[in-house]
Amino acid sequence: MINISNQHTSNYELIEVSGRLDTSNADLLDEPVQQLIDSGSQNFLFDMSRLDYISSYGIRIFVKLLRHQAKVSMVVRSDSVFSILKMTGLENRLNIKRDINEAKKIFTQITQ
Amino acid sequence: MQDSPIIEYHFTLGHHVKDIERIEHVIKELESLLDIDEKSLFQLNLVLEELISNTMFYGFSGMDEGSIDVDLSFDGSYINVRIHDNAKEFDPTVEANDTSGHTLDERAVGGLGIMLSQRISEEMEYKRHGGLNKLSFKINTKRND
Repeated sequence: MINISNQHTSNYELIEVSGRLDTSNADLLDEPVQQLIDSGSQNFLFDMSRLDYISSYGIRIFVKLLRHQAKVSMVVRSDSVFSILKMTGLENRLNIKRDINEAKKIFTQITQ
Repeated sequence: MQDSPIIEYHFTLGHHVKDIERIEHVIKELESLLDIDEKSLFQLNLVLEELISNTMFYGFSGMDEGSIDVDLSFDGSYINVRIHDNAKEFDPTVEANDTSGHTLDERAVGGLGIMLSQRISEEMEYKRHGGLNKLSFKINTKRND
């Protein structure tokens, strides 16, 4: 079960993802993210503070964003989700934070 | 110290990609059956999903039938996993060895699931025998990383 919501702000796209992001449902996130890339969005903040599980099919979406030179920040609370993201070696480029205000700072620093 | 009793669990999946969803239900069942921490169950879920989805998407591609048998046993420290399937020959230990030590940017994204499986599991062994892929590995529930 996954829940996804998307909100446009002046500095970034705020995408909330909760539940499980896995092989069976990663397309539900991939499609709106692809649309945002196609429409020129460059800054993405993922609020995954209520995400309990992620597999490689979900992580590939973030890798794709990095390959498009997007700026990515995310809020992760689950130790297990954090541990898996860390294994990819991309934790610094994904700007993984525990708190959403910390994650937002990545984008306010850009615009100032 | 008394040894923990070994608990065994078996399930079979078909060759349809939709069957992957069953793994989540298996994990929920194991959560109620076994005294295992959330992180170890997460890791078991991930490795099963990555390896089995790989078999579903690529191993069974173009095949009309197929099945995947999964045997699990838990001895209080290690979850021992054995996966047998009749898909096309595929050795995930070779794939993983080819990619170890690289960061994700340097590697085809397609190998990500196998790489994560290799890093989480221990003693992963593969052999092709009798028309079956036979894979075994362990997950150390006492490991701290």
